[in-house]
Amino acid sequence: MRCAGLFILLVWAGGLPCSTRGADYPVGARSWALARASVMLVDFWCITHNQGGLGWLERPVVGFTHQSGYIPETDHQILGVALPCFAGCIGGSLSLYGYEHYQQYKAAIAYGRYLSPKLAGGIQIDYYHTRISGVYGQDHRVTFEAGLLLRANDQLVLGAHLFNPVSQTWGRYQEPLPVIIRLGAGIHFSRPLQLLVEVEKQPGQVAIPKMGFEYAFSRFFFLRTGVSLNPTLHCFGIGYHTRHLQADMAYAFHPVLGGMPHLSMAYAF
Amino acid sequence: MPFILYLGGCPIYRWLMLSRNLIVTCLLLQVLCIPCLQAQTDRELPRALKDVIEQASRQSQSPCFEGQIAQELFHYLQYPLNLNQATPEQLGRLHLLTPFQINSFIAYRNQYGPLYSVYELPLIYGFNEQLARKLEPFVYTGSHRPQNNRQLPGPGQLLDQARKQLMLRTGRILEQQDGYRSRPDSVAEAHPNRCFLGSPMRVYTKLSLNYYDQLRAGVTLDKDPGETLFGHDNAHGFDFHSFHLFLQNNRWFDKLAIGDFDVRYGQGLITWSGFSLSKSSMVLNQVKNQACLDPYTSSNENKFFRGIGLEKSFSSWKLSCFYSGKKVDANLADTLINGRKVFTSLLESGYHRIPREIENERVIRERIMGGRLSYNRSRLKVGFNGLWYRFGGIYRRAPRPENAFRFSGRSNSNISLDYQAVMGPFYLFGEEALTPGRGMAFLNGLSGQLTDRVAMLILHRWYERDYQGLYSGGFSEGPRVQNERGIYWGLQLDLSAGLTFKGYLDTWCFPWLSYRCPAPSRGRGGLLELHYTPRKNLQMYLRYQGETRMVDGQDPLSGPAPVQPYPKTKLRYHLRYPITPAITGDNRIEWVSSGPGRKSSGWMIYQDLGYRSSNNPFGADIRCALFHTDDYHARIYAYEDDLLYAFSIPAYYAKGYRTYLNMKYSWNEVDFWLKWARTHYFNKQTIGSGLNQIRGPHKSSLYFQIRVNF
Repeated sequence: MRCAGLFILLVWAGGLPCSTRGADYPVGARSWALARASVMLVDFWCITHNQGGLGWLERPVVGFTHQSGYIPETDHQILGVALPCFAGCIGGSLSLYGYEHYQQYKAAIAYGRYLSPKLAGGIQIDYYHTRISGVYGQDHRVTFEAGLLLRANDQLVLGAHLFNPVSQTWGRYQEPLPVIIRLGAGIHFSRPLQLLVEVEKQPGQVAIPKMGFEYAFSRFFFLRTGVSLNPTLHCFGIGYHTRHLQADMAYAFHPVLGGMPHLSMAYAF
Repeated sequence: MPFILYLGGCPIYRWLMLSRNLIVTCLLLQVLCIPCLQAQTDRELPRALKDVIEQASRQSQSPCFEGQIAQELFHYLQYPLNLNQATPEQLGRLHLLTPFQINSFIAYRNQYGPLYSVYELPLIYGFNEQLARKLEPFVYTGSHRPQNNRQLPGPGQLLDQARKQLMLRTGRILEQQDGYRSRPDSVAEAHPNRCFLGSPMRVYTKLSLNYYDQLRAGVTLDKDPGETLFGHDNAHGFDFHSFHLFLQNNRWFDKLAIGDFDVRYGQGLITWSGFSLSKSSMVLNQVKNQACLDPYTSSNENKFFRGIGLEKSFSSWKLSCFYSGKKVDANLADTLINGRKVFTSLLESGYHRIPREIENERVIRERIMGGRLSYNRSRLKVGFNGLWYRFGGIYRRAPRPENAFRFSGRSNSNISLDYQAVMGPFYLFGEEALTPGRGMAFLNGLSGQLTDRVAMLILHRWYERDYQGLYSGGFSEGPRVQNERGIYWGLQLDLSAGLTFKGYLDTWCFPWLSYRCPAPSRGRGGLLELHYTPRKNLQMYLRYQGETRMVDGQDPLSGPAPVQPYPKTKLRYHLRYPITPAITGDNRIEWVSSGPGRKSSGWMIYQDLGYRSSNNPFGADIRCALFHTDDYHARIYAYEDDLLYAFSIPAYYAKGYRTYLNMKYSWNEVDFWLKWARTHYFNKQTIGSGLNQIRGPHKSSLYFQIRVNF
């Protein structure tokens, strides 16, 4: 009974950000601190939330992120790497979600590059492996995702991302893996302040509006906050960015389930 | 001085500072070339504050809405604030400035000296031209020499030099209401509560005396419609009498209040009497930063303190204390406990029109003592507050689940610690309160002027279900500071010259049962507004407002139903434009939907014309409004220009039209107002209910007011 209850909670809690596991973007504490309004962000973690951003990475980067779930059984970890080559950048990531009775692994490889001086695009192949104890068994699927980033000018960045356009399905009951479209804009009002807005939509679901602020408190320190609806998430975070190191912390607060801390580290060589 | 350093770090700001004298000179030339500020008598409330009043009317529990806001706003309309002497506390009372803007203004004044003109305000970091226009009616730039410790003259000289004012307002609803119908004596004796004892006339009188900012004194007398005048229970005259004497900036004390006064401490978690801003289109003004004593001149008959209050500063420390004792209206129960009266609720309407209401008039003695010790520096303020109160009877609420954690008994106390701090572009504030032996309440927030065009506010509140602040008035969605958690976000973006975006989002939950919701519940509400001012006097805005809360199922046949979401949506477009230099037009169209599946909806459209001229003692406002809503749930509120110190925010519902004419004429030191209003319903044959019911499809009112300055 406990396992059944936990299973339901896992599926439900996992579904809060994106309706089902499998679409486990965006990750990285910076993104969470901005209420996941990150489709237009350019940093190492675009290997998961918009592969178009890889086109602007210039150095090899390795990173790790940990996301504590509302309960320990919903913790989520990702290890990633990005390597500039072939006139663009190749990225790879491995992620683990769940616990012994519900586990999901994801392996992904991405490639992104400039399409024009202002436009970059990227694509990623995802391999999912899910194992549920008991009679449910296991399943694995392959899908892909793609993104575009447009630097319209010094103050405006636009981003678009599409996940699972092939409408891949799960398991013996052919549960659909969601098709997710995200559109967003980042506006630099002045040097220290960036406003990020994004809308996420799945067919048949209400749209999720998101808004985040990133404020450069000094050259290295950043304060972040954001809010998203459906469901309501209030997010806060701080960041420390140097030439080589990007360290971020975030705390996302759900009015019913409580808080969810996040930690990310990335090192550029 | 990080704050100054921060301001100095802004290149535009630094350039403006270097060019300040040149710019100020140009501005002064501009002032000389254009028509001067309008005469004082032509000043009116900025649109933003009318919005605030409209919003507040929806949340007000009292039908009488001549509250603290009337005192503060109209006081400064009549006696504008000298910006070169204004304290942060006085600036906060304008309700137009955020704490950051107040601090920015003080820093500017300290660094660069007195302002030459109101037109200099846009040079200050965090200010813009629109804000300066809003402030213009309330402020002026005068002498910067401090006037503290001025000696009060003798009584004769004081009476000669002080500004004295007598105001009389009277009027009534013209149609006969059921409560005023004549009945045979036998029927009246058998059913004494079926008719009002007094006349339908409303009579309000105020006599006030002001000597600069050092002395304020006044008497307020009020009789509501249906109450008796010099008769029955009011043998001594009016139903409500109020007196205040307020001394300020004296050598012996900072403030001394005798009679009726208001007290505001911290963020209002333990006490905040009078008006406080709630959620409105002024999305950043939810911070309370004017803790103080104030004289009370409103006509609300219960929500004030009566006794003595004192404030005294010692270097950076300030001590404030007060004692209040008065009798209040209460619903008496039929039992006694240990020989003491038992009451089930405190009444706030102030109506004493029928024997049943008179029985509950001023039946319970209330004693309140409180104090505040604060430490004030330019960038940090910390205060420790305490409040103790005791009733002459025993408060025993109805035994309903939602009352399980509310105050019951004879006495109670609250203590709290509040703070305000300025850190660079950020302003931190909060209050942490405690009811000893019971619950706690926390309110903390961060307000920031992130750039010269972007400002935001985050406010978090956590009020435990057993926190009991009977006199609190802190930020909350519910009617009291109790049983609530939530986060509020406010954002204001100046997109370009004249174009502003504003928005807020508030999410909350009630961990325990609440009114009309027999289960823990949650909700959220938000506002988005695009405001465009292409030039002075021409402005428009488009506003979307939405809210979803949980309410009971409202199904009397199937019994208590599960809670269900109850959404409300409003969409409004408002346009204000000049027709001639003296005539202004206002147009508004508003659509509302309410209930699951847009069960109720409706719309309202109106045309306003206003005439004001500095050359003509005559002024007038006229409105024609057409409305069409399914029912009362889809009602629409709209502010009406009214007699001075009075507000009218009628709820438009059902199908019909409303029109009013408000005129003013000034003759030397005497001002006259006359307002006539009429609402006609196409689909109703009776209006109102109970004793207030009118048998007919229309409701009209006529009010007259005279003000004499001598």
